[in-house]
Amino acid sequence: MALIPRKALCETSSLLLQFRRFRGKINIQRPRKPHFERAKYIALTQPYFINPNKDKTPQELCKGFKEQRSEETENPFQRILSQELYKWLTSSRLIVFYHSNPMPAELRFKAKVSFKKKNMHLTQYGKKTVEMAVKGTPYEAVLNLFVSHNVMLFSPEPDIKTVFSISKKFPQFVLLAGVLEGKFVSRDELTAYSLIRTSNQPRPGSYKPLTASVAKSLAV
Amino acid sequence: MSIYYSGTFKRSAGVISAVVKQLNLVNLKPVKKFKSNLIHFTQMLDFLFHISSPKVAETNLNCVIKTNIVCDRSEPQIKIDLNDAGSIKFLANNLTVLEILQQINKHISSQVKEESVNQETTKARKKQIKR
Repeated sequence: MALIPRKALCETSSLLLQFRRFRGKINIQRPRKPHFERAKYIALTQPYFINPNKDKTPQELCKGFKEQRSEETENPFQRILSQELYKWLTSSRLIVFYHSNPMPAELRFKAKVSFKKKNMHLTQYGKKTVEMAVKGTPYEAVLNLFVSHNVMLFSPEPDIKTVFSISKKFPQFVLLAGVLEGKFVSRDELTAYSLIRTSNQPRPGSYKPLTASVAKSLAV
Repeated sequence: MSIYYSGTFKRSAGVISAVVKQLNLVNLKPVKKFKSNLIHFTQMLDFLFHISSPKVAETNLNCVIKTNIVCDRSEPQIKIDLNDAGSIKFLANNLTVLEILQQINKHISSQVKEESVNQETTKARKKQIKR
């Protein structure tokens, strides 16, 4: 009894119905139109991409367009240099600003050495570093001088004469202006200050013994 | 729809390329002296820098460039004394470096006649160049 297949007794397959699912080959060139429900889901789940050029201006659409890079991040080393520069600015009694014409590096080194021998510090800083150091401080006016190639000289003593005597040997350094005892001075003022005698000793030949006549002349 | 790219494929660095081009043409042979009254914070310091470069100086070793930094609010001026009794004055208040160089090339460098290329370098000339 068990040997008789179940199918033959209980389930009778009707020969009239032939179910077809991928029966035969699928025609990819002329695909079958899907059922409406299937078609609905296909239509809903189709991916769509927004055009990347949608809201762009004609300038942005141009071939060689480069987006403007914002300079928000500052260079920490530049910040350190600017702080160093600010220390020099505040600690020196005389600061001189030069415009430097082209000169060989050897000569520039010689100039640095000559100044160093008189305890003066000659350096070169870029405009951006100076801007970092000086912006918001009383030295902000100095930025106007930084147009072309610039060189700065820092001296702890206001020894203008020495500065002039050494500068004469290096004509490539053109003196622009200076800061004397925290006061911004022009080139003419610097030359005037250099002519003032700073020593306390009287001039030779000017000493007169204090006699009655001299005392009379001194009395106002 | 778009047409193919046409034109040169040169790469220019902006204004400085034009300035350098003019500088290469500068010849100061007819110049005796360069006197400039410059204000300490003008663009003319840039011009001074370019004109003091060794290449330009080599064109005329006898030419003297004298700069006077001026502190009153007068106009920056550049006066060029020529060898044959004449002078050109630039009122550089509103002039750019490029414009001045162009004018110099137009009026001064154009006066220079082309000399023969093969010049015997004498000892004296070599000494001058070394200086």
